[in-house]
Amino acid sequence: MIRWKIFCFEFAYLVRRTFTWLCLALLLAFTFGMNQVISPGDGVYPNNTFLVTALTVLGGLLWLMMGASIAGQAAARDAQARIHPLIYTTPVSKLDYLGGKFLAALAVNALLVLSLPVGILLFFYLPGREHGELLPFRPWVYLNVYFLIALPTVFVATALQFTFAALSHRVMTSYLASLLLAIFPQLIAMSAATLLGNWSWAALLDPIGVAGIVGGEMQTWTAPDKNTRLMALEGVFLLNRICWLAAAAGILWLAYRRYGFVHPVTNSRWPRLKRRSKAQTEAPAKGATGGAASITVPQVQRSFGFATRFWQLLAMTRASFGMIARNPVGLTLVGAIALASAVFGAFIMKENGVPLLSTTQQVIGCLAAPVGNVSSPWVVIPLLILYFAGELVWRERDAGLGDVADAAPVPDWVLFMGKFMGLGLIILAWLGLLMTGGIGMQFILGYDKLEPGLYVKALFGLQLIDYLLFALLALVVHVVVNQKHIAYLVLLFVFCFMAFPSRFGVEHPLLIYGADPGWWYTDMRGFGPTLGPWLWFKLYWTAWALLLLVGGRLLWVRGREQSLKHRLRVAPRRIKRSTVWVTVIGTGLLLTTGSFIFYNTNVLNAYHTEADGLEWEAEYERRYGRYNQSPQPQLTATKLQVELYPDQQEVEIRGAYTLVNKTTAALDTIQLGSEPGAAFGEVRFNRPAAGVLTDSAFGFRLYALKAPLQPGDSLQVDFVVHHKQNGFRHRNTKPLVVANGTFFTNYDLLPAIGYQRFREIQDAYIRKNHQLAARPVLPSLYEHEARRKPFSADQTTFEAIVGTAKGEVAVAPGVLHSTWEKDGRRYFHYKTNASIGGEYAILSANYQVKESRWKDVTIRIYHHPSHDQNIERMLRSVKASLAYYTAQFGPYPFESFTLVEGAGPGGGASADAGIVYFGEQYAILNPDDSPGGFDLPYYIMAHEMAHQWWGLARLTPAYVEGAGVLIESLSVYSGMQVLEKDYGDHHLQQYVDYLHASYAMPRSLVSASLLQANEEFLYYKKGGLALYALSKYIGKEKVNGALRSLLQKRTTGELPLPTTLDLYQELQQATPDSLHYLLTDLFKENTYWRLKTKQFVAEESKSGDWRVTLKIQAQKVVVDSAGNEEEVPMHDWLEVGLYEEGKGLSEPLYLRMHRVRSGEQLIKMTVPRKPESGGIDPNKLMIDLRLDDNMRQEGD
Amino acid sequence: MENQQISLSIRNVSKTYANGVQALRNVYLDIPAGMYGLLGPNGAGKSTLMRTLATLQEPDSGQVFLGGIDVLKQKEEVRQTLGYLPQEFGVYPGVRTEDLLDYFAVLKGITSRASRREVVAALLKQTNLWEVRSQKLGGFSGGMRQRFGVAVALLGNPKLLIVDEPTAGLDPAERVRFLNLLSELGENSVVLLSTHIVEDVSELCTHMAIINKGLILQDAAPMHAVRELQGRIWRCVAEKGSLPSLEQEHQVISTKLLGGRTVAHVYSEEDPGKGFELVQPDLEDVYFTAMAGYHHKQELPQVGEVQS
Repeated sequence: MIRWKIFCFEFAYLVRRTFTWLCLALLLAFTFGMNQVISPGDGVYPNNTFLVTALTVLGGLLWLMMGASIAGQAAARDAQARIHPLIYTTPVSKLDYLGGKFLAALAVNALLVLSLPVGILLFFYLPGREHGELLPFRPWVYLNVYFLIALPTVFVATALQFTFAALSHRVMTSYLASLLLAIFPQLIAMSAATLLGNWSWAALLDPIGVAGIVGGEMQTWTAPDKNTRLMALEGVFLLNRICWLAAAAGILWLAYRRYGFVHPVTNSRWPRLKRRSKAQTEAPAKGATGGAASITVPQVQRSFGFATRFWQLLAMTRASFGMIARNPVGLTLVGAIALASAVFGAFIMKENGVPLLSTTQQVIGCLAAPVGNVSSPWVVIPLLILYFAGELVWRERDAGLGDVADAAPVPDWVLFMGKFMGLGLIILAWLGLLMTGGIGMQFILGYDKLEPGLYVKALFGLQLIDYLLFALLALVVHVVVNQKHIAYLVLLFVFCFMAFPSRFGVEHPLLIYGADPGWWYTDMRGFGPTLGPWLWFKLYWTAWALLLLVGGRLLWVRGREQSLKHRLRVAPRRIKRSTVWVTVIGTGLLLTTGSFIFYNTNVLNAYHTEADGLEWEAEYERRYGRYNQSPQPQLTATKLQVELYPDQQEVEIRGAYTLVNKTTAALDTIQLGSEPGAAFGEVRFNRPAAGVLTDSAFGFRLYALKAPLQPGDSLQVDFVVHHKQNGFRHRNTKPLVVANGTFFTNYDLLPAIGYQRFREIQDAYIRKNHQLAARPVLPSLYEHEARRKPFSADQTTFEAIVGTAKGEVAVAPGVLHSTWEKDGRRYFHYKTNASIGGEYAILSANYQVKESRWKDVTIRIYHHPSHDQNIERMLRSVKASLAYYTAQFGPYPFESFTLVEGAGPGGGASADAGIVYFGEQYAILNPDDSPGGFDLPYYIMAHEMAHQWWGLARLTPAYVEGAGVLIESLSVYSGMQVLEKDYGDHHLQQYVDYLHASYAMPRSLVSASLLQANEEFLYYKKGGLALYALSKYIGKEKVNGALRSLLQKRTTGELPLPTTLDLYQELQQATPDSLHYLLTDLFKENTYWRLKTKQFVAEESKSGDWRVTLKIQAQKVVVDSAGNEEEVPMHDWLEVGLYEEGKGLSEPLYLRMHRVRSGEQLIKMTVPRKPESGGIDPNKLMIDLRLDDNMRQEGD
Repeated sequence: MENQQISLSIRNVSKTYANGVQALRNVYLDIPAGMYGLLGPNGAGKSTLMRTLATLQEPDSGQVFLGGIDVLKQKEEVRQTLGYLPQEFGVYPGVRTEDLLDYFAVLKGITSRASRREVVAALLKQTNLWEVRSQKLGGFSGGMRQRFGVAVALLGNPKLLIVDEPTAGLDPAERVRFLNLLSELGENSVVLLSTHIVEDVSELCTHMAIINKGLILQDAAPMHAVRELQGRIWRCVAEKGSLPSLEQEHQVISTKLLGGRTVAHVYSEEDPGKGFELVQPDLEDVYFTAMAGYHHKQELPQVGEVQS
């Protein structure tokens, strides 16, 4: 009864608060807004269950960050309002009191999150809305997400918020509970998932579901799933709900036990959690006789000049800093993450699972995140700023000292600036912790080339400014709104805007508080040209900050009259000369920097929103798509004269193309195209031609030849490309020509022949929105016309003279014929002896050059001087690859090979004909190349070398489904062979595990077959696994032979172009009939095996042999494109292996193929020695999602 | 320093809160240097007036001058000579006593470290907080906190000291010490003391005002006010149950229990008759007379004249 009364009173109080309704409004707005911007995708109805579930989860996160004060109010309002003595002394029991209050908070929160499913429902079913075709209304969908996802989350969160607030007697502490709950479990879940490679950890540990549900299981949903599937209360999800509900119950129990119905002895935040060290002594009032001792106060000199203001500011700053530093989470939270970064640095400093040298550049990349980046753990910093800004602004008033402090002779600006500087000092301390964490990480990882200067620049220059700007905004909002919880909501909204401006339809960084075009740092390029624009933007935002400062000062809350109306009324009186000056300077700075930036981003450069970009692509297709089928001559020779001016970000290219008509008909028009930013001019043909169309907006030109180009005939066209980066753009684009880091391809700057289909919009939904005809991502394998077109028809020889700055070395494809200096510039002459396909790049930097040789192939390596630790490894891989591929597939077609470091953050490598580019991160990979390790970089180089045979200038497949298999899968397979040859079984097995690991990531079972592969996962992962499996079944000689045969039957660029069907045919010929079923399963179908060893029994026989019995469970399913799983009978050959104790997979006691059928069966063997473990498919040749149950130990 | 006696003039100050409560109605007062008592029941408007004088609030109309300083406009200047002890305040729980006082000393403009140390030590000793100077304020009792507030108010030798019900939480000995201190300060500062305890005023103040429902009922020197009542306050012992009829017939200003019987004080300019005896009036009688509305306020100059 009492509890009910308490509940009702509390509930009524919470519901009457404006804050509660504001939360409700924001949550509803969230559902409506997200519904507006989300595109359901192909084959999915707008009101699908995926959307309902995902929005409920994300809305739950939003609620968590907003709604903390509801539980906080219920738990700690009485203590904070100091009404607790009246309540504690009533005969109400602790259980009734806390119980009633908690239930009221829970009820209000539960009703709030109910607005998420209700909002979605309203969005679709409010009258007068048009959504196209909807699925029928299914009430249980909304009930399911509410009761299984939203409500348990609310219970857990409310419990934690309530406990925090109740035990600290402070309302705002509940926000810290939210912060911890929003960040830590997700962080732990994500790291557990990535470190342990098991994604069920994320699903188990994440209470909110952003990582565990939306990022986990829901990623496996297929289009039909998305329409109808719901989270089922089973498995890991069930366990998650049980664990968290139990945790919440435990937390509540703790709150109940620890909460005392006593006057809080001290308002120290964790009074109940820590024992007080010593009791307070009461100071007695002396002189009880009274009157005798009079009080004399020494007369002191006081002054109120500038010096005093300075000291007051300092005192204020120190006090503000002290307050945050003393807070339990003030320094610890950031410190803990920094410490964890240092301790677990080995897990962070990785690229593709391979350790990286922890250079300062790398570490900074981990430590510095933009303020609005919500996916980095450093999002705690802006969130803490939000929280502490409120605490600071309200510090005096919360403590009841407001009147005393306000009556002190301190100007408003000192109070305001003091708090700002205190917050700034805390930010400085945080950044100091970050830096310590970073340096700690480097020390722990054994890297000792510290670059303190770079740390200071990146953290105490760039990051600090960003955080300070944000801190100032937070303070001003708290001052203006003057309502702690509502200000917090407003700031959260502002933060969301800063994090996802494009969701609000704003993209220009001039309109997003604190925004800038971004900056980067790499060892080669340094900060490049990014600092200047960054600085301009920060100046611009500093101008705004000055105005904010003025606003904050004029509206500063002082005294008892705090309404905004009153403050606005007295604001004019607060204007002083200094205020005017700051305003004038701020406005002046704002106008000058703003217009300068605008001039750069919108006048000197074209400003395009994302939507503009898509519209451009759509219009390009609408206007010129019809030319896709019109035949064009082939580019057969390219001659360039390139003048690079890296310091000016400028390049001039004079080029000459030789075009040959390889079609069977005469051609009378030539189409030339380019990127819109890279206009070319001075086009001259060596035969009479007239420009018919010049569309510079779309980079498309048509020339009519007076006399048609007859089959077999050729013509030459000359042109000039001039490119210079004028000013800066609103967003950093790929830098093309920069000091010590020029790297551009022909696609970036040079004209191309014909219509460029790759520029079309790929995404089906966006195509539909732009009224473009539906088409598959890739043309079908069975479309005959498409099989006549490669990705690029060009098969060109290449010759270039590249001039660059004096200190730099220019690199281009081919053999370096000569190099010279002229007019203070260096020139390099490169030339190829064979066609290099249609893709090449030009680079220039201060390279160190190393030369080597393999047989009669010259090898030249260009690298950044300090990135030399992997050069030998790369060279070994290059030579081993040349040797292996030449022997297996045919000769290497060029006389030279170039390996060059491409400036930029890339962690991998890429190949063009006769040349491989590796990224700066690749250069500092630090793999374990011992026999027990895994030398992935070695493999990567072998993979890129394989492209000299597969793809590029050699095997150019038709641009249809499966093309990626011919290019990438064959290279993966080839690279694996080289890895195995030089490093042995263990490294290869590591690579196989690496391929399988991608299957462990939550993904849909639905995918195309390898023959019709259309995504990178299939090209790189499944293709590699399938070819590897096949090589284990029929022998790698046979597979290699098939591949050699495929290559030899083709002449590059000649019709018919190869497809996966040709590969399949070759493989089929090499495979015995008994294994044709395997080819079908691997290449033609989307087949999964489910293999499990259920029992392993080994008994010693009388003769000393060991009789082994394995109980095997086997199943094979084929998943079709709709996600339907069909079990197919199996009668497959599968490896069965037995292993002795202490012996690895490479030393089996027994390894033979057995026929295995569907279902449970026994396999019996006799071996001479005692096996310790055994099972089916030990080498993981099949596509099996559960590989850990293939093997069994004795006695399991 | 100038040796001029400072004084405070309040001119027609009115304040009405948003909820309609008229906290101050046309308050007009001249407060000379020395101790000035503001006497009134709870909710009379004392705190509103005090806060207005302490620059924390603005009246709807009227003017306030402290010497040549316009209190409502030149807040910064006022604050430089102001000591304020609010009726209710808190402290930062996690901060040491000494540190917080030192912090306030800086805010009050005492920037020299040495003199700050001296002042802080002196004030802590005078307010008997020296023993607990390194303890955190969170555990202080009401009296200790009040003493701390006094210390803060006294920082920087204020010329205008506004103390809002300062003796409420103090024990008798403390109270005496504190009042002594105030009277010393009153020698060349304006000390404005609000209270509902008549003794506070009678013991200390050279001037006082009685305020109720936002109106100043009386503004006089206590001695003078008492003298004015000479011969007008009569006492009678009322029998049980006869009080209502007594109140009907006479102008009863107060009643109190004395040894189980009710003693009533009656205001009358003539002898009210049998059973009444003339008493020597005290300040309490002044207060109750004013509260009961029998004091006729003298005409005061209405237009704000600035003290020269």
